[in-house]
Amino acid sequence: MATATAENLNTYNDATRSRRVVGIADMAVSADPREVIVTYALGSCLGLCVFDPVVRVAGMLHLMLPQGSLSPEKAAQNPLMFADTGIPKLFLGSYALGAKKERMIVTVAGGASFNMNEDADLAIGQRNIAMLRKVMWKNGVLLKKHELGGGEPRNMSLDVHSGEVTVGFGGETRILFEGSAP
Amino acid sequence: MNAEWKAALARAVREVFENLCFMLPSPSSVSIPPERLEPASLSRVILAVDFSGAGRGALHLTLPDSMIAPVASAMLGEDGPLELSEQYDAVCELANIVCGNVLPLIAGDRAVFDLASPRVIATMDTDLGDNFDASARVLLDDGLVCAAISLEFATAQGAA
Amino acid sequence: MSLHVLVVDDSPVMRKMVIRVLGMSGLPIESVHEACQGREALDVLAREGNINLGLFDVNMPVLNGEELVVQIRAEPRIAALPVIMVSTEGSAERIERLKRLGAAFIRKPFGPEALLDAIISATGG
Repeated sequence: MATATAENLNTYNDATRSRRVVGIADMAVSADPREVIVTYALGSCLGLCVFDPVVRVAGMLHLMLPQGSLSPEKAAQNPLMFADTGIPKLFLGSYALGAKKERMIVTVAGGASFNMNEDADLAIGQRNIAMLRKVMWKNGVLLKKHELGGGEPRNMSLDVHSGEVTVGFGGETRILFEGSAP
Repeated sequence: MNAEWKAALARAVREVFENLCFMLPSPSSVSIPPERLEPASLSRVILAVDFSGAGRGALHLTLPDSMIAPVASAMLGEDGPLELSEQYDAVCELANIVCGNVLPLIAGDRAVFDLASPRVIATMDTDLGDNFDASARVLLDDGLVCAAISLEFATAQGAA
Repeated sequence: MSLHVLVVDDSPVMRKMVIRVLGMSGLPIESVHEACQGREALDVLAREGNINLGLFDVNMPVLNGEELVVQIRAEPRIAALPVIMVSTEGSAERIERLKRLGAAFIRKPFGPEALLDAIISATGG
């Protein structure tokens, strides 16, 4: 393994990075170290990131709703909209680029709730979180880091080069997962 | 009926089913068919957890037969058919955990209780009846869960 | 360091759930032994000389989890065994007694990540 130095950590400076945006009910997988994958407006939605540090493959999914089986037509049109149909797509897409499940570092952010009226709120954020945990448990995958709940939307970024995950929340950006140089 | 105990039962049921079975309360804005609100109209299983220590009593938990398999599958993270014994063991353990979580809510965290192994006491169309100090009904997406508790404190100090 | 784990709980489903977390953990788990109550756990510990982590329920018949830890700490051969109680136990008094016995504690219902964190902490990473 190469020793991390100031020089090679800075090999990919800002000018050479390219931003790849994941929209709502959308995903991206990449092995391009120049890319930073980002998504915005994670309200009740979840942003799920996966990273294989050995082959440096990264993926991000922005899902909206928990369960595709409740809307089979929509799930057929866009499985990425739902946690139970979208999460497998993210993992399979990463495997196609050489990632392995047992090496995957999984982080998630989102699942906020904006409606303070418990009677009217369908608690979509909470349901998304519950379905995420169910899918993770069923597939034998642990979450490395998470930032969930609350009452404000979040942004999320995933650096394909280092695996670093950042989350923007309440006007501040913090590192959710630090990543590492190759 | 003790309102605080009722709220504690409902909270324990919601938290345990969410964390272990990934099941959440039905949104109240959704129209609920009347038969789903009537526990006696569906075949249900009744689980009991006896306890002693700071107080003596029992927690009873009922859920529809139709929930047993999905609950067990969710807890174990398995899709395939499970042995009936494993399914019943799963719901028994749920009752155990609900009991263990509700007792400190009611009696405070200084009270020490010893819980007996949970057991299935009925698998027929029965309701819990009125012989409890508090009961709660929580309508989850997957069905109606009812919990009830009888608790007699050993001494006045045993109460929260 | 390879882990040889003893899981003790009177619920087979709970033992299965704990063992599932061990399997997901990525830790070097070399063997997993099970017991359904404290007396049986002591038999396993007497028979298997290499167990180096215990995950115990508290409320169990015959010999409960607290009594099991007391007996383990009194036996020089196994007194230093890292132990995590995985329990619904809500009594602060009992939890404090268990912590004074050197046991870590994690409350049911637990998330798998929380259990893994407790295991890593108990085994020194």
